[in-house]
Amino acid sequence: MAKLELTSVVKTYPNGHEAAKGVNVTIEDGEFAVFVGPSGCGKSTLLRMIAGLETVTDGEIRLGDRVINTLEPADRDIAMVFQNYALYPHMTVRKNLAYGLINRRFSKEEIEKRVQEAARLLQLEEYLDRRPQQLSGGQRQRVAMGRAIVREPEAFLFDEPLSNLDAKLRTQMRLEIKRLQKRLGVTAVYVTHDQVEAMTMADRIVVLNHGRIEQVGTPHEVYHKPASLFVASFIGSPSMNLMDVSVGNGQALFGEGLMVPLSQTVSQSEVKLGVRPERLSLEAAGTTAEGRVSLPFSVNLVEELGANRLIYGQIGEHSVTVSQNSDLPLPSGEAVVLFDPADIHLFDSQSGNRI
Amino acid sequence: MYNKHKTILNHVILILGIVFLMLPIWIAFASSTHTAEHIAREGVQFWLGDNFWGTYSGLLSGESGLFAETDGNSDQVKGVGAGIMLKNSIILGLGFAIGKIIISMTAAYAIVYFRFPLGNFFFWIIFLTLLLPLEVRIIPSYEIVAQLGLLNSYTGLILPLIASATATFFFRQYYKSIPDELLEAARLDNAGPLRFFWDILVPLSRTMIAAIFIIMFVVGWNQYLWPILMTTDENLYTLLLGIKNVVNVLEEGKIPAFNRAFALSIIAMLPPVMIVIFFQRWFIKGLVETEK
Repeated sequence: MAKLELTSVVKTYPNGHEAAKGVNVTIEDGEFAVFVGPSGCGKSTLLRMIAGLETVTDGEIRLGDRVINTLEPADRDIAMVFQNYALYPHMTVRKNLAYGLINRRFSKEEIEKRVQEAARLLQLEEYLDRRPQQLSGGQRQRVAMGRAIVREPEAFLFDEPLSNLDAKLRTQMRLEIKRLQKRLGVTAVYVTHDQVEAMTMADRIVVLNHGRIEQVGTPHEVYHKPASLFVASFIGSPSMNLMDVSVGNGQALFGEGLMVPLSQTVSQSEVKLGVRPERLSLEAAGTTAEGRVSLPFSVNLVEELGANRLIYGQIGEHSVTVSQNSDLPLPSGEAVVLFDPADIHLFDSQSGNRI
Repeated sequence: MYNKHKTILNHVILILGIVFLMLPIWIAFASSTHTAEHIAREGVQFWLGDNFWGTYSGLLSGESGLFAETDGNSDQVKGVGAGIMLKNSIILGLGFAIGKIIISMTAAYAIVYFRFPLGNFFFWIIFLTLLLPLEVRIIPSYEIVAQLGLLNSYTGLILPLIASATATFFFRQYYKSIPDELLEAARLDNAGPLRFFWDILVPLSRTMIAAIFIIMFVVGWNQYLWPILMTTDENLYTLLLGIKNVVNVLEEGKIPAFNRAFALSIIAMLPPVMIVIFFQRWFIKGLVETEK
């Protein structure tokens, strides 16, 4: 188990594409870090560089007290779980688990011991003599995990390991992976494009965009204090309402006569203003509440999701989504949205940084 | 009822087709179990005779040649036994098939998994050799083999024909269909290039190997031009060369022993047929599906 440090890591492909533009992040010993971002943001490339499957153009990757930049993948003391599992189709589960150990010349007894241990941990004991084709998706996933576990590595790397599973199994495996990682206490890096996975599994989330880190923080921080416009719009579903507003006299101007006092002072005259849909509440016109401001809201469309509903509508010129508990009544006729000015996030229109 | 009639009709057509295709083979086999004299007198036979053992044992041991024994006249040309030809053919077929598989698998492995300068270029060079079949390059090939002193040897028979662009191409396409992650997983599992080849690629290519083995075995078995050039020593004659002797005999105005000529054809047919039957399941699998 060890700390994983990335220092100014750069990856430039021969065709000039820059997949990583100087990434700095430290993943503490035993921490579960999730790299999340849209496709093409460089998250998989970073992971593959840590694994040694891609060369590092510049910068330093350090695992424990070793710089591992140029080591062979097998010498890095890391194990990886692939998206398509990459199990050896012609080998039994037992052989799949043992293969890495056999190649490292472990003794027979040691191999058998570790395979049994991993199989017990993953409830694979009865499948040890089957081949991957005879297993379900979830079981294959567990074998892939097992192959990483038997190695007892310094770090686990996961490359979107759940994306081939159906929704129900995904939720279940999500928990299993997290539980297992905590139990083994091994440093883990997990790559996903699914923000729900990122939020639920991570000790810390690393949000990536265009080969750069947008924010590193706990799921709570990333959700409640997004460092940039990108993070704000990427994390959270439905995504944050973002509006271009002008600022003057400590107030944000939503449109003609629609002003909201801001709880912070802003030097810019034009900003992006964000409010999470669930922080807005929809009420009949005329309703007021202590400490909350109200803006007129016209409803366009309502989506029932079961536990809650999404209401699409407009405040002045701005399209806004409201998420509301479905037990609450929908106001008929004129409506307003109420919200606490403290729930407002402000971002610089140019740089996208949080103000 | 309509369907039933249709089924019967279909089967009748199929059975007629089989009979039509099998008839020559059956005639050859049935005739081979008679004596040469009997065939010379009565023509080809449609039913089994009682000379099965006599024909085949004499032929295989080389005691009786392809030619009718005319009144015990023993100074006539006597070929080597079909047993030796059979052995030669099998050596040629197996050497051909196994050699081609080894060479083309390793070549495809190099092309697909190793990035070396001009790798793709070399692949196309290999592919271009399809345009240069043996018949085109037969004189230089012969010259080289002769200079190496390999005439009249198994090495000389097999080695010059062993490179196969077709098989290399098949293996290349197959390897390309194997997901890259498998290689990456193997790298993390401390499997070097040789181990990855041996532990993972070879077992995965089983069906492919079987398919190529059949094709190449039959191709090797049916080689005619090259062996006839390469061998002057009768002890290296293959079955096909033996069969060709039937024609020689006819040209010399002698009467071949038709029972043994037929028997020779049957013997020449059996090993490829057996190999196809034995590998059939894998063969189809190898060509049709890619196992992942």
